[in-house]
Amino acid sequence: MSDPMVMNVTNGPVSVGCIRLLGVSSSSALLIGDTESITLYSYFDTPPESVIVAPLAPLPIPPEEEQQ
Amino acid sequence: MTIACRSAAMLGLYVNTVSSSGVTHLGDIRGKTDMASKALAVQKAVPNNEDDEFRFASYALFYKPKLALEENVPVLFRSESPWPTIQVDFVYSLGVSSSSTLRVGCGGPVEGISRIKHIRYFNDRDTR
Repeated sequence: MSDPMVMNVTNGPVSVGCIRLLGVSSSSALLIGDTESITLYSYFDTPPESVIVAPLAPLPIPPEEEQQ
Repeated sequence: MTIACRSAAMLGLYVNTVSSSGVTHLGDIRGKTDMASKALAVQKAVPNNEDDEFRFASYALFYKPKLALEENVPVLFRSESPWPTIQVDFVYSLGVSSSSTLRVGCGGPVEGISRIKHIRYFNDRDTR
């Protein structure tokens, strides 16, 4: 077993104005204070781009093929 | 581990919505804060009557074990706070959701987990 690592933290002065945020979501944290530890997990499986609901739009021919 | 707690002074707090295992916490806490949320969205044009697809246990995402960090080196942690107050004027947030936390104060460990499975599968192209 290795020797323990000694870690000393000195917190400085904190003075914040206004905090404006749209949201805290999907295992996130906004902490104003102190805590021992924060452990956050988030899983998200299917991306929303995996399905196209609208009908397919025909794409124009690339200009390289038109010249040939 | 020793944590030097500071006081948090705040002028105002506005939170519009707290939902889906979200936590807004004002003050100190000694114990642990646990948040957990699951979501499963299925949208199909043609049903699948063979597989049991409406239970969380049917998808590996919901029973996979949580990953954990291994402590390779023991750490003797100590913190001190010569300035005993954290000053914040105003916090404005539209929402706290999905195993998230907004805490003003000192406290114990925070653990949150959110698992979302999002299925959108269309067997018929004309179906919306």
